Amino acid sequence: MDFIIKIFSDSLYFTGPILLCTLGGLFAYKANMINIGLEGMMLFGGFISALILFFTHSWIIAFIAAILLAILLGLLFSYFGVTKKANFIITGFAINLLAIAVGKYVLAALGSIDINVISDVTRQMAAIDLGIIGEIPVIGPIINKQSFLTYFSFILIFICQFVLFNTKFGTYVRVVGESEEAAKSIGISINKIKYLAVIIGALLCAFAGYNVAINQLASYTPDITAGTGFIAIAAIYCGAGNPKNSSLYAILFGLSRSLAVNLSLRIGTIAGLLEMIPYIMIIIVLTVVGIIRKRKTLYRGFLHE
Amino acid sequence: MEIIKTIELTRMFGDFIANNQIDLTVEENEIKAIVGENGAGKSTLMNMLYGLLKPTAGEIYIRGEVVHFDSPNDAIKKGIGMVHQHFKLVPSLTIYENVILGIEVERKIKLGKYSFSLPSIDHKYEAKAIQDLIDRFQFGLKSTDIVKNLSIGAKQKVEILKMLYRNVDIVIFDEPTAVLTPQEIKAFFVTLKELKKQGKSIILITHKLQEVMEVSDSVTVIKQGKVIGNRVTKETSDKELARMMVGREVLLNVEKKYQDYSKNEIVYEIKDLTTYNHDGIKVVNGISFHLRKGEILGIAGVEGNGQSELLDLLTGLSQSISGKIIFNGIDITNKWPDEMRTQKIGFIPEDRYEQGLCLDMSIAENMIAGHHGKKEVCKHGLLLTQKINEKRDRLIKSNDIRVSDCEGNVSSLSGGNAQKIILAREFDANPELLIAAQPTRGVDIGAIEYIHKSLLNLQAQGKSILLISSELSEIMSLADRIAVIYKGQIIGEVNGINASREEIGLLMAGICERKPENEVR
Repeated sequence: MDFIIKIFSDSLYFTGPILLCTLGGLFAYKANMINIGLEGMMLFGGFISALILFFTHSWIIAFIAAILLAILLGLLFSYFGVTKKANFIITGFAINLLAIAVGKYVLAALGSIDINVISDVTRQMAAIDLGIIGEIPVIGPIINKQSFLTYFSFILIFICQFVLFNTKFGTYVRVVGESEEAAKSIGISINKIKYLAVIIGALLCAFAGYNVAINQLASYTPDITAGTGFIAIAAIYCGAGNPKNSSLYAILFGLSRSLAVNLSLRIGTIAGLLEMIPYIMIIIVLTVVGIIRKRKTLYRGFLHE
Repeated sequence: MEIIKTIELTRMFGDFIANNQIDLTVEENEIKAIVGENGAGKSTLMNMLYGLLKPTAGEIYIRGEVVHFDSPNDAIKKGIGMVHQHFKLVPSLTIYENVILGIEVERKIKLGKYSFSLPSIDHKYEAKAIQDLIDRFQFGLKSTDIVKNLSIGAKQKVEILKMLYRNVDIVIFDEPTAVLTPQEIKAFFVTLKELKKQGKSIILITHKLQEVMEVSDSVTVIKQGKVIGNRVTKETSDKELARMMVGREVLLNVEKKYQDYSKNEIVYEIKDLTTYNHDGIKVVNGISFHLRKGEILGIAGVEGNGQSELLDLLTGLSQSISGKIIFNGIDITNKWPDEMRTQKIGFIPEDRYEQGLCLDMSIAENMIAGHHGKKEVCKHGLLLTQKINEKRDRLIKSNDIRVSDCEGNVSSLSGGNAQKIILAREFDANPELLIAAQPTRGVDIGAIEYIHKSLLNLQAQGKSILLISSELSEIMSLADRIAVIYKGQIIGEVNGINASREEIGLLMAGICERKPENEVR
């Protein structure tokens, strides 16, 4: 029983960052800009927050630094991808590669293999004790003792759903993604909407990076993201950019990551193989989603929608 | 009083002058028609009036006041609205969301005498406000319907509502009747006259000259970015306007000799063809027809009634779930396009840039596309460049295709010349059957004349032609028999020689009296 509770509790733990990236990325997706740079934006967020925390010992300054860098990255991505109309797949990849390179460079300059901030991360930062809620049988131990950002990520599902369907901004994002001509004809600034959509994504990715590097691991290495940004892209795609649906896929991928970790702890030597579970899961899910979508169409070859 | 006046309005795209010192005057409360060929610069002019483009030089005056528009919003504030040819609607949103897009109403809360705006859209209020507007103009729509489920005519009404809601008093219509049925066109003219009665001024951009004659008060003709002339509608004729547009005498309708083909053998037969679209809807639903040797069968219908899907089936781009296609006694159901080509079927696809041509490739490469495996141009898997170039030069000459650089890409050609490349390619393969879809869409009057003549020439050689077109006058002047498609089914068939617009129009709208003898087949 404890083992099962552990699996579900860890699912929440792993789902948090995936959710943040998913919900962030789906604004850009809805505005017809697939942000392949989610991974790099998250890694940058983790890196800058660990680095600043390491030197200032203040989590607030670290958090603000992550936000500022995220806005900068969002502007950078949009400047090339929107204003300059460069291919945003390439731009996204550039950010991903840059994130790894900058991290490695700074680590080398520091002469360390990681940025360890464990002494600056309090117990409250790592895991919030929900008190009486934690006492509820089964559910209590599953949801208790997660970081603030993990809890926030779940609340964010509903916020995103509301923003996307009940506010002007959300409507405009959908309109820009669906018909730029319609947006242009009534004077919606397409570029502004796209910039904002990308920057929201960058911010939430930075939160995800902060969540992993500070709250969860209390250290930074260049591999902490482990493909979370790409998993998020898969979740966004599978859920067709709908916050609720995409979040369900994010949770599914969080669960599979939890399974991978927990099962490999039990099994021992072939544990390494099990770490493939989340990634294999993505391939399977994408294949199934693809087949279901393709099944209905009798059209040959590629169909422009 | 002059409501719009432009003085030497000029717009350049690089070195290309799209509008050259245009002087246009629109009187208050008149219906002004602006006619010209494709690429004459009508759209550029309108886009400047509507704030989508900025003039390179020249001035725009609205009610005597000079204006500078940075965006359509500025134009709307000055009372200018535009209904675009390709509707600028968002298909997944409702009617009221589309109408109110950009000026959403947000929920308010009142605390004493202060009221605050919440960031949340007041859907209920919006739906009601738009329903009121719809009722006031008697448009007969429901404001909460999703736009993608609407007919074309209804979508156009939504576009008009968008402008009415914004209180504009000058409405620009860009090719408003291009996609409507004859009945919808009549209804649209009623709407136009109603708008005029309510004091609106209207600019009508069109290339259909009968409509200009029927509904407008005055006409301005534009050619190659310049104003060729202004006429009062009552004092001109469609012949004169056509001559002004093209710069020479044109045949508005080609002459056709009708014959009796009912004794000829059947070369092409469709039996009960059915297919689903992406959403699982039967878009082609049990269609049957046949085509005899030397005959032109026209398929008329309002766009979006299954023509595209039928065409995809006939040209091998999609698969049917039941039914048969038989050509010269051979079953070619669900064959791929290249297999159909080897059976000597030629295609003119409905979207020449999407399916007919490859824009980034050279004219020569496009001239052999689909026939590139033939011995004359390909040996041991290698393309014979010299032979291909010879073929290109021959076809350019014989079809009078105007190219500035014969080594250039197809993207540098005008619509009419691009279409001629497809025509040249397909005719050169000497097909027994030609499937031609929207063969004159978006090409100028001169090219229309040429294409129609070519099709009749092909028929004179004893070949059969299946003509799918939403341009009713085109079908009526070319086809020997006219079948009308409605909601994925052939709803009726009439003879080309004595067909009337009204009769076909009713069928296009889905209204038919099924006579018992029609059931026998």
